[in-house]
Amino acid sequence: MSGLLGTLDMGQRALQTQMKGLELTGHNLANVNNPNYSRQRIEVASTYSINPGSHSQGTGVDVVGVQQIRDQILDTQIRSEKSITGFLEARMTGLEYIQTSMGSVLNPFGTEGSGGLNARLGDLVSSLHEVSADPSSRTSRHMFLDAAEAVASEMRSMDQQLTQLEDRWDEELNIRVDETNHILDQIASLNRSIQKVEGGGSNTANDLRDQRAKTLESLSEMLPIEISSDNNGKLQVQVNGVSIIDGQTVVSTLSAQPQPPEAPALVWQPDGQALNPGEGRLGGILDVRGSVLADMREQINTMAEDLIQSMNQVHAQGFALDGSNGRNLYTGQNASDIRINQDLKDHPEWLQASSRRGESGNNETITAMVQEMQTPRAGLGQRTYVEAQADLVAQIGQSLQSTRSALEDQQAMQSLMERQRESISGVSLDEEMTQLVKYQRAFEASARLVTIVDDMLSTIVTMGR
Amino acid sequence: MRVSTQMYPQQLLGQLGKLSEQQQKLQNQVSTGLRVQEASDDPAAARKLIVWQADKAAIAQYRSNIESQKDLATTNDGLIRSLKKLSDRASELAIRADDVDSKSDLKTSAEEVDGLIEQALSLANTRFNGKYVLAGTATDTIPFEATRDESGRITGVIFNGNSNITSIEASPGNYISAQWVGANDGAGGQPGIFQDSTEDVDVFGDLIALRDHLIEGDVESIQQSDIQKLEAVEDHFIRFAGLNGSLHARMETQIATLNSQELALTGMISREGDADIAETIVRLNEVQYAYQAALQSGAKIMDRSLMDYLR
Repeated sequence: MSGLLGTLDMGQRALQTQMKGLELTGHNLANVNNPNYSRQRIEVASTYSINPGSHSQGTGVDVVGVQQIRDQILDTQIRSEKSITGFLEARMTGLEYIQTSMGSVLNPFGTEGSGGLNARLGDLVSSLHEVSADPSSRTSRHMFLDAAEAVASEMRSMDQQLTQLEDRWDEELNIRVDETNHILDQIASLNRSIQKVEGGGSNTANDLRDQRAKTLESLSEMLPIEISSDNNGKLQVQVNGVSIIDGQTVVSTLSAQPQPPEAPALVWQPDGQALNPGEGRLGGILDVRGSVLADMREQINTMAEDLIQSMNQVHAQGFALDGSNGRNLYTGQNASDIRINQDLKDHPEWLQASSRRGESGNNETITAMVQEMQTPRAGLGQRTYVEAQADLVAQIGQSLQSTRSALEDQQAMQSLMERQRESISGVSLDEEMTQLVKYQRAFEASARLVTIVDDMLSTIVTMGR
Repeated sequence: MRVSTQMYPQQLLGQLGKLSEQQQKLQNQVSTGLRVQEASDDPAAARKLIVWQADKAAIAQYRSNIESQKDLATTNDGLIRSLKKLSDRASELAIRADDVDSKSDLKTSAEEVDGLIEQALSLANTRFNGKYVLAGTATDTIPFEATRDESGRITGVIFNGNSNITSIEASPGNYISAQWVGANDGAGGQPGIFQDSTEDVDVFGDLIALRDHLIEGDVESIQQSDIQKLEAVEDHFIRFAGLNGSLHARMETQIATLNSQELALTGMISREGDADIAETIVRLNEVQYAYQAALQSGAKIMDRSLMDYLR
């Protein structure tokens, strides 16, 4: 038997326990709009029992801990989904950026813009026909040379835009690498704080752990990570087997090493191991920079090289109005420097339109150029210039469309998981309100016990009077 | 499933975002009338549209090519009509030489034939767009050059052009030309309108012979050879007129074919790239209703909690 004083003690413990419950409910309510918060519950247990004789007797209740309602497996799943989402998001942003910044080239459908490269190629063929109908006319020669220069300048501008996009993406990569290193520091410092709070005792730093979980998710958005923790709760982060964080220390930091014209290489410092993230935002940026942009550049260069070569080859067989020959139509090697021969621009009569010397009305060289423009070309995989350009447009469109729908699926899946987690860890106002009522009533009841024991004690005290 | 307070606003935000995106896209389609605005809207259609648009531009070019040849053919029509009239008059004079006895009358005829020769020479050097029509591909060269005696009479005409012509593409791989050449020396190439050794036609030579026979009063030579030769010249011209007529017809057919191809392509481009306005507007309305419903239901749900019922 614990006696009246013991019962008073029990009442006090009960009051404290309900108070604690009320406080924690308040904490939950306060965090109802904090997306990183996991709801918490007090863990209570009945206190020691006294056993003076044959009847064992309880001594009330006490708080033994604060539990965070969290599903670790779901956390791991969400982290790995976030890596994929990060990759797709970066890739889509990149492709969207390409599609808008090369708008007129890639979107010749709308009314805005002048129709891009395929319109210029069409103009070139039309002007060739004009020369072919009137080979000795200076006007039609001028028109053709202007149209040929317009094609060249469109190709050069595509090349420049690609260079700008590459620069932008290199910069983007650098920014994200810095961000990643910053996140690594944050995680290490959170580890330090958590170990300090939890060090040795039974305390769990729930709110810090929430923060760390959130920060780890930000990291997995950047690159795919593996997380393990040892028995002492020390957290370790690895990327493709390379240890990045070991408890409170950042073991390796990321650096982007420029290697123009290729995409920058990601390297772990200090041990110099290369990183090919594959997933995550960094993976997406490298994919856009190293694969999509490089592929576009190659295709545009192939078209430009083929155009320079074929036009010059045909042009070489012709004769100018004054009977001279031996001039190139185009100068340059590829899309970066393709230009119409300035001599011809200054002297349109030097355009070698005739297949025989001294025949000003002869258009056979021009007709051969039209053929070059219209027949499928071996260098372009048996496609015409227009088809090759259409494929380039369709290819970017296709990549963007499939990335977009993959991202939509991925986001749907991720939000399903996040909803599941929210369902487990999220705060419900209705629930907390009932908890509030519960603790309030229990508090009232315990207070009642204290009042009664108080009454009884006063009865005893006044008994002898 | 346990529903936390955060789930409503999160879900609502996601739904509103999706619906806004759809609204924006549909509104854009309605206002521009275009279904494919970016290649990513429909990559396969985008590729087709680019190729078809190029095809359509090519058709317009082919038509313009044919039109330019039609102009030349019309010029040639005028030329051949004048030449035919000229050779008719020469034949008439040749036939009349039989009935006219007096030398002075023959001389008058000879004067007239001399005028016809000058006229033929000027026709032979016809220019179109500043180019000599009958010079072959040497369009800057005066094709026919006359040699004259001391009294200024034409005694012979030589051809300085060539017998090559400029062809233009009327449809892929199909070349046409309305061009004629002035003379053909028999070494192949196009038939010559003024001189053609394969057909034994020499307009200037025949006219000069007729004139000289008239001057000399050599009626027998006129009857024996000149009349027949002039008949051959007339046949030659009729043949050219026929060729020109059938070329005209062929070009008209080709233009009609190109027009119907263009119409078909326009239809294809429209079907593939244009928005079905009625359908798009109906879908836009649907999405707008869904957007309103999401807003209203969200507002109602988020407005209520247990707090409204606890004192």
